[in-house]
Amino acid sequence: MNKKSLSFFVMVLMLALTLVACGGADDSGQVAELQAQVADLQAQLAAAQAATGAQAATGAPAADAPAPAPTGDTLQTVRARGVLKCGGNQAVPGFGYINPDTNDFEGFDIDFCKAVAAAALGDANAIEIRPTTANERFPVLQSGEIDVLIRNTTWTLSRDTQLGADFQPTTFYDGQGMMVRRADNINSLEDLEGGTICVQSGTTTEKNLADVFRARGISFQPVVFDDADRTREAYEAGQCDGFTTDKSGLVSQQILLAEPEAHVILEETMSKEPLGPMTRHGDNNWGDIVMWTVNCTIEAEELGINSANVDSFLGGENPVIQNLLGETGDLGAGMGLSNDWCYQVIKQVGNYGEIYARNLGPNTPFNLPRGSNNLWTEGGLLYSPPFR
Amino acid sequence: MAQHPPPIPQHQERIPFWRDGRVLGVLAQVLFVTMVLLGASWLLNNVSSNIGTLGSFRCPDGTDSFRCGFLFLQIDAQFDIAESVVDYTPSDPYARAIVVGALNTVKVAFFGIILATILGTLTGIARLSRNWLVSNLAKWYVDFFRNTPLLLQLFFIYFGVILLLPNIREAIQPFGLPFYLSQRGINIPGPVFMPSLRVWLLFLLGGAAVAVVVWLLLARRERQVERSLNSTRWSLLAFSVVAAAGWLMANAAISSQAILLSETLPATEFADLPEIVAQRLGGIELAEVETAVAEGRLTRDQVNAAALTICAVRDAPSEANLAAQLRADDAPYVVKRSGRLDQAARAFAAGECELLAAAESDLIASQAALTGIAYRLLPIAEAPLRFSIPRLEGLNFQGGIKLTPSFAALLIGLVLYTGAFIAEIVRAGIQSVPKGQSEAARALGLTESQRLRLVVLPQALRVIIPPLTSQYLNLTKNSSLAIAVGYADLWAISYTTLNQSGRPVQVFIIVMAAYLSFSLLISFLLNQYNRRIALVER
Repeated sequence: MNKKSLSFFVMVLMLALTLVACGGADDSGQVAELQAQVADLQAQLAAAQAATGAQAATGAPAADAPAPAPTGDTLQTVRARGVLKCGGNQAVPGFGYINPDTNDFEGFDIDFCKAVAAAALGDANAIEIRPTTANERFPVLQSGEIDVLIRNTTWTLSRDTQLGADFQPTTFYDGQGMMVRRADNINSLEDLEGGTICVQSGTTTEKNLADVFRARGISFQPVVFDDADRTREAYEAGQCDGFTTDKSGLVSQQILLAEPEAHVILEETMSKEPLGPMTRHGDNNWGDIVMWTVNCTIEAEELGINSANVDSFLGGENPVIQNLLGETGDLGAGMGLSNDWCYQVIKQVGNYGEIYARNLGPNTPFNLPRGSNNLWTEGGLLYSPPFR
Repeated sequence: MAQHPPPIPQHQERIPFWRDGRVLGVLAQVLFVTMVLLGASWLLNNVSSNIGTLGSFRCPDGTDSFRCGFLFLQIDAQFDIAESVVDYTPSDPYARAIVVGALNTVKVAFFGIILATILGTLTGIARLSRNWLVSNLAKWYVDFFRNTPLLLQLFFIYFGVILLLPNIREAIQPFGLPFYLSQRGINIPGPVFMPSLRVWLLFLLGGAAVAVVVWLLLARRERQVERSLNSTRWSLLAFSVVAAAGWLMANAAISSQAILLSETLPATEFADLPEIVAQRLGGIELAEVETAVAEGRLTRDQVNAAALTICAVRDAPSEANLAAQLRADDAPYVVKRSGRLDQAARAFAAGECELLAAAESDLIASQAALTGIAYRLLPIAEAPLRFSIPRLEGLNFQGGIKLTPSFAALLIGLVLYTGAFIAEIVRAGIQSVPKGQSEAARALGLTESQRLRLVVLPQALRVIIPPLTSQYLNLTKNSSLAIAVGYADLWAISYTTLNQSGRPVQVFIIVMAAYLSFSLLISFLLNQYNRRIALVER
């Protein structure tokens, strides 16, 4: 019980005492007893106050600070729980969805959640996915219900500064696209003049749609749903002429349509959508862990290390690789992790290229070209700072 | 020796306080209040610490204050809203977006309450019918809708019924009237008020005054001659004559409307325009264009190429006024709409259309911007009231009034669900009136309608109104399920606002305050009514 509530309790007790005292004169025995209780509690209160004073003197957080601090100690919380809680998606195949065959969450974002679990707990399967809608994802992160949000979330300035959260390195460089029916003969956004567009609420796409169409003077009617499945169903049923979301999302939703080949995604890209993980603002250590986990997968791909050959690099000569895999140096200790954290990530989940190929690559229904999501050495945007 | 009475015990055995009912009662209450207050203070503490972390109550000067927490309402919302009672664009602030949502909630609750009351009353009476089919149909309806979740019903109505209506290009058009029913909603003609409506309204008022005078005079005369002179009929006739005269006057004398004609149109008066189109189509009678297309003598593309192209401002009455006159001549036309008059004028100057329709004064004012091109100004006729007819242009219907599928689904769902509850309340109310009351009314010689109106209903209403109030409240609050079918109600828009602005606490305060005030208003109104009909006890 903290100071405030204790003093409050004393107050209420005193009130009760007065009530009892007024109730009858022959209750003096009880009154005395209650008075003794009050004295006892007051003593406790004094002790608590003294303790607080001592804490304040030694520079420890003041007692007024929130007791169940949702910031600052995510790593301890995760370790104590033994499970990493990720905010994810359940309706975007390729990124985050429930595989109907295995009933497990699978996808690109889910793999990054596994990577963080491998780094923080040493076990990629110690994860729990909390599926969220676009609207509820931020409150869920803010409230501490999840440890990290990995759910196709676009990095924007206002989100970074106003939501009490920090963005970690982009895992997927995307842009907003528009899906239309092939039969409608729509070749550009201008052809959608006067049309109806299905969009999910609480997304950057919802804002971009309004901005881009307003800037180009195209009038449209939005049909807004809170849920990705409903949005797609409404489009598919013919409620909308266009369906807009990130291009990767469109590719993934397309395979869920009854006749995927009857729909096309327009060439035009309406915006920049860098998608990445999000952590709570204020817990820099946890933010570092997520950031360097992503970097670890990129660096591993650059160095040619993957889950199959990582063991062959152990005990090698290259100091950069020895550092990365934690055989030399103490890169993990700085973040409160074991030194082989990056080894665990690569071994259990794989490097960036493997994660991409597994979920979006040529052997998947999506067959998305790497494009911007290639290593900087291959003309892409993926670039990890050095592991030193 | 006097017998001593037995000694009174010096010390009475006292009940320990933990077995004293009075003390335990007080203690239990104190404990309960303490726990409630502790819980509340823990929650408040949590909220305030979260607010501190988020910094969402921060003022521009760096301090935290409750007032500053709501400054975000002035920021641009930047998201679009599908339907709105008032004007709204994405550059309007969050505050206006929330108002738009609140008005949408009021809209659906208002119509919902009216329709649910009608449906519920009819069903409630039907359940008491002696006709087996009627009473059982009512019973099945009530049982079905009352015992399934509303959310499920909404999903079914939206995804299972409305979205399975025909595609917009194959919209159902009953009896060839300009009413269209498709999966994009229901499009019906809507009235457009022209500036001269004011003149006509004056005539309507005058006509009403004349009608009253006629009625009074005739009534007096009726009393003198003691026979009916059809005073109602004559006063209605007087009203119609004045109204018709006013319509013609307003039509003929006043016109604020005009068009700009480009040089490519060799027209000197409005009547030339249909002829020009007819010539372009090879001299065909315009009334026969549709049959010609149907018979294959003309192609749709030829008609479209010959159609008059009109530049107009979106949602302006000028377009409806011009279109109505072109429709009367069966002249095909195509409209290019712009957001503002200067944009429309620029499109006209760029040769994107042959006509620019607007109010005459606006056209004269914008002539300055049209230097360098040749054009003529032509005033055109105007009627006080025009109808905007929905036309399939491009991807959607333009013009008229649109009932969106989301609104339709939500309204139907709420009405069917709440109507089932109201039906039971009405039935209970009617059954609560003792049979003897009806028998006594009949014995007194009251007619059936008098019996219902004067004896049964006043007594039934006393039973009906209090539970009816809570059904109205339920309907209003259940309208927040709108988010499931994509209707932009208060909660749906607030939820988006919450997400885009990252201020959950403030948004929840606003939403709770709004729903609370809706509910209190409804309760207040119905309580007033309830007081009026309540049994007066002396």
